[in-house]
Amino acid sequence: MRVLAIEDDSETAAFIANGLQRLGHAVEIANNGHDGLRQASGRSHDLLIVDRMLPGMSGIALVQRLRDDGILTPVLFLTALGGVDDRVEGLDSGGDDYMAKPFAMAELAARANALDRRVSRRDEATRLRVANLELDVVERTVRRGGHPLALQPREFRLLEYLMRHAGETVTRTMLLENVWQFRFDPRTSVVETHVSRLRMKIDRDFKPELIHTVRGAGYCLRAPE
Amino acid sequence: MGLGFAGLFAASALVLFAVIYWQTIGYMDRQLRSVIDDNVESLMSAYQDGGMSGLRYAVERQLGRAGPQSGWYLAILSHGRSVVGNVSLSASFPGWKEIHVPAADPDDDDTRDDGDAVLGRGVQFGDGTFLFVGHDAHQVEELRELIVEGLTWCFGAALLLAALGGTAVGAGALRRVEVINEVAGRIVQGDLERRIPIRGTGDEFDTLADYLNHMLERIQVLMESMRQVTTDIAHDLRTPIGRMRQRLDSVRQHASTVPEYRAAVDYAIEETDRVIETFSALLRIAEIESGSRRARFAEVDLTSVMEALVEAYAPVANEMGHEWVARISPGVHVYGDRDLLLQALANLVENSIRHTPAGSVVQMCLSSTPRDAVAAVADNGPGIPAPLRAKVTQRFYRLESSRSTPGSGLGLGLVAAIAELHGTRLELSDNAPGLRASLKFSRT
Repeated sequence: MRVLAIEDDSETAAFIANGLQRLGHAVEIANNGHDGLRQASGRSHDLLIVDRMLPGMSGIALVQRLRDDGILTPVLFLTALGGVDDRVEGLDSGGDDYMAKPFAMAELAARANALDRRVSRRDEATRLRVANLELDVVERTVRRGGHPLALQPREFRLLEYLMRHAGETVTRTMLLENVWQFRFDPRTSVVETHVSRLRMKIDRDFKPELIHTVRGAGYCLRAPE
Repeated sequence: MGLGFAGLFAASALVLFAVIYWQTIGYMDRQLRSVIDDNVESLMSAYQDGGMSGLRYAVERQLGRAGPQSGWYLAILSHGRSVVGNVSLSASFPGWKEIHVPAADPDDDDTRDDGDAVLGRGVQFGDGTFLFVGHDAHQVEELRELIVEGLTWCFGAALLLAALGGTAVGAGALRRVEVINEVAGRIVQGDLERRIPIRGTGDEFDTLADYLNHMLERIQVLMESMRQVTTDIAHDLRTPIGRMRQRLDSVRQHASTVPEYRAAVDYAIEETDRVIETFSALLRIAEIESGSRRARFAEVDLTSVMEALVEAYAPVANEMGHEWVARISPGVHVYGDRDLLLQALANLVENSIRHTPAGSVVQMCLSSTPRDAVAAVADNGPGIPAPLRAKVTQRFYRLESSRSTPGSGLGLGLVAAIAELHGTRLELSDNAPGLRASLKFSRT
């Protein structure tokens, strides 16, 4: 995907660019708010990564301008302002996700993938299918190879989230925020425990294995190629 | 200041005296005039009834009957010439006038050099007759002099007292302000132990000193806790950073293969993450303590919060060999911040799971009465000795027994801050055996 990173700190910008290019994305950099606005107005990007404190124009003002102009490119705020109020302000201004610095590359890459506008229409599907695993959001049913599986409500939401992001890495934090609504980092293995229980139900008695652990990043649900 | 008050005092005294003066002298004057008016009325009716001769008869009768001691002075002039009367007038003058007559008794002390004062009223008739009716006014004059003299003395004395009293009070106040200034100066220089002396008179200065002393005490406590926190942060962060440095140093000297370097880098990232985690926790506590989140308070379904925690943590607890008991009342709502309450209760649950041996029972209870709602997490693990319960909510404080478990020592501090934001307190008590941690929310 084509990413525009609007970030004035050259070291952070280089870190973002290198990390995303390594994953096969094309990255442009703008080091101030005005250039960022001009470049983003071209509408040729799939994702904008925006710092909040920028020379020339704040990230918030920039995103508001874009939204006012009808440009709906997904925006990921990446900023040192990590308080709850800051977060709410960022999302209110038109941002789609909000990450506080310091950050891990794996987290940024996973969230960037989740926001990619080329795939963001998938949230509307109500019947999800990966290999021989099927999930019906409306009927609340899960089948693997035609066999119905009994899942707890939270396991169902966990599986739904993984399936909506099939083929992508989702991080612990993304799961905590979206499945449990936890905005803090638990000190016990909440995610690990629940994923392992889900695995027991989904993967133990069936082939192929679908839930994979991505070391140092998170999990990925995908069909073998 | 002092001069201003003296001026104000003098002005108010002057106003007061002026009122007294007008009330007394004015009253006497009005009385006298009305007596004179009455007499003029009766003489005028005599003139109307009997003409000039009738008037003359009436005046002579009055003068003859009343004699010189009556205080009445009457005169009739016809075309400027005196007809009858006990006062000689040089000219006719209609209207009120004060004249002076030769003293009735020259030896009298009250007699002034220019004679006795007489207040009178002149009436001019159409045929050139002029009537003067006057009355001795020396009583009014005397009273006037008496009052003016008395008031002058009073005013002088009052002014003097005001000046003396003002100076005395001002000097006293000034001395006490100086004491406060001096103490404040010492405190600014760093002597935080100093306090403003209290005289025990219970006046406003004592109240002020008391408030200032309380303020100073609070400042001192805050300064000390800030010093403590700064030291603790430095200690707590120096340890992992020091370890990381040692590791990197030794890798640079001894490592030669890529896996060895990779292991060192992984370790460094892990340690850095712990440092970042500590900073994030500190920032979060600071954000909560600032109180800004109160603006986001709303009705929170505490039952659903507790149920979400049971759902999330029961499998974790079971995995670690703990027994899990939940007793949650339905439909309990409180006013607050859902995310923060979730985090506070999650911290308590995690503490119970992490700091108790396998096989322990972890209990989550939510109970409610019409007056309050209590959310509690209890276990039958080792508990916290009573004298240390107050300390565990301090930042970075960790029990000896839990030092081996990873953690920042900020968990309970965060819970305490969240509790305070919600107007309640984190209550730690003996679960006999084990620890019971609870938050009691008032419903009023």
